[in-house]
Amino acid sequence: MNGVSPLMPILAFVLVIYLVLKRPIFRIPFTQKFIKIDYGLAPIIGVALLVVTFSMGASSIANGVVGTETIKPYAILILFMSLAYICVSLDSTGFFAYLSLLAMRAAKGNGRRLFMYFFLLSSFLTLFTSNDIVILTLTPIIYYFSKNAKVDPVPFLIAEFFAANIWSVALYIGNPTNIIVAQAYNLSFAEYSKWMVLPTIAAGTVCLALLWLIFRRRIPKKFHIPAVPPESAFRSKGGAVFGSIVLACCLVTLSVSSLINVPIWAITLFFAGTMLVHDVLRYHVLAARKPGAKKAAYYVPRVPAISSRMPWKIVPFVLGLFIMVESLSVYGWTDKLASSISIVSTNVFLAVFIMGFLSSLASNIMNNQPMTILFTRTLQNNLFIAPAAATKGSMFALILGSNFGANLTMIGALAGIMWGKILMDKGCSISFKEFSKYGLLIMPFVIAVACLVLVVELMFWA
Amino acid sequence: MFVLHVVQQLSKFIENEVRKEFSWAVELFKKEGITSRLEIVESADVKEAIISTVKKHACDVIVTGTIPRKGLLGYFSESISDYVVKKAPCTVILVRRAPRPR
Repeated sequence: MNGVSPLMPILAFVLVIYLVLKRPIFRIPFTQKFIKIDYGLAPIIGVALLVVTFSMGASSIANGVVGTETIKPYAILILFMSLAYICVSLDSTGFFAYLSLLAMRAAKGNGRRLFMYFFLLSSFLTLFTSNDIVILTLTPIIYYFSKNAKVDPVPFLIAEFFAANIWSVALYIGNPTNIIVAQAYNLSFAEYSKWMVLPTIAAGTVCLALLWLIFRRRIPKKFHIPAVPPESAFRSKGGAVFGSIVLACCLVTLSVSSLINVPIWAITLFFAGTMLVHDVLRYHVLAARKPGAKKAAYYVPRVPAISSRMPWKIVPFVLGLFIMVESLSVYGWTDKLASSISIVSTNVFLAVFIMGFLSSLASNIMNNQPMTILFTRTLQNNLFIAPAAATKGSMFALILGSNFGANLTMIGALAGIMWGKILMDKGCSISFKEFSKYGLLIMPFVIAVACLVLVVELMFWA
Repeated sequence: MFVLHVVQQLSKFIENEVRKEFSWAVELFKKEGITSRLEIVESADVKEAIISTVKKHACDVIVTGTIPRKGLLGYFSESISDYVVKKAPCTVILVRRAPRPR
């Protein structure tokens, strides 16, 4: 690669981040067709740019796709996509919407109680599924509720979003970023939870207290309960029961995966396959045989509809980013970053706090997934020299930052952009400035408390 | 005349909410003697759903609202109307957001 500027991978990386956030539409030259460059296509353009400028060889591409001994992108993707299928399928039954309407009814017209219930529901659902799915489901419901009840939606929406991005830290499966870091360090499901549950509980509690302090005057004391029976949210009760059982069994098996010595991606793939077979049988084969099937089919979930809600573009996105980070590594950029971070990570306290805040901020510059891939490679670099407990602390703090960073500004994670867009399309816009005001007021305290709990854990357990 | 609304997933609850939300539009057409139908489409991709519905019904004109996108979020969020203008097989009329009639 003689004669190629070492700046090229950096420039390509910056270009990819810009395209991921901006998602421009271009006209294909000499045609009437347009092409939208989104997060699925942007990293492919970045990789192509590196290949045509001879900044990357075939070995970098192969390393990026196949991975190394520790990071295996294909395992991360199978794990994530399998879980996504289970959660999207369960959501398609209307189960999560049913729980939201149940929470609304249980609040009995008390606004403050409902605020608490929405925060807890968002936390609970995120704990067992993933933040993106919770945001996609709860946001339109909160919007419809606020409109009907004629209440200010902002406190409820912010509580839902913040809760989703805090409680996603607790379990291995809460966010793709957790999976990337945990896979890189070969953490089992149970060991991951052992370290991350307490910082999550502390962060969730502080966040709820601060949200309450900020919004207490904006939350109505009383509201009119919309006359909506929670059952009307269901599309398939039987599917909801089966899906919940599959998810529960999957989580239990994951938590004992280290004892049965089966890779966790194989476990999630098995349960996703079970769910898929069930969906085909219940929604296609059996539903078609029922009398009045045509009328009932209006609401019944369908496998193609479930599939269309799956985050397929995350596959080229994550693979492309792994390849790009590989090229940054080849040109020595991760060496530079690793030695710079290790200079200041001299003890557990500094390592945790610096990585916690640095990764949260970096998520808002380069989005949380590219940041996690880059920082994971950096922490695994030979030039990252720190005491063992500090290295462990940096790794867990990176997980905290990759989740919490999404609450600082709306561009910290793809979930934030998606959330802002859902609301903007409904004419209920929360500006970037308003969101950032709450994020910057609340999140530094939340990050600090979570880091502190992590430091205490490391002092006693490491 | 089709009044189109795209939802992520359709349930009885969502359908009722959408019917309530768009009743004013259907009433407005009725008052003017125009036959209209509220079409609720389930799709994860709003803009693609608009284009495919237009193609399915061979519509002559699309009238869609457009919200001016301001600030940093506006810069980083795509506009459905932009996409529709580029992909539509027919004339597109964009209407800037106006207060709803009461």
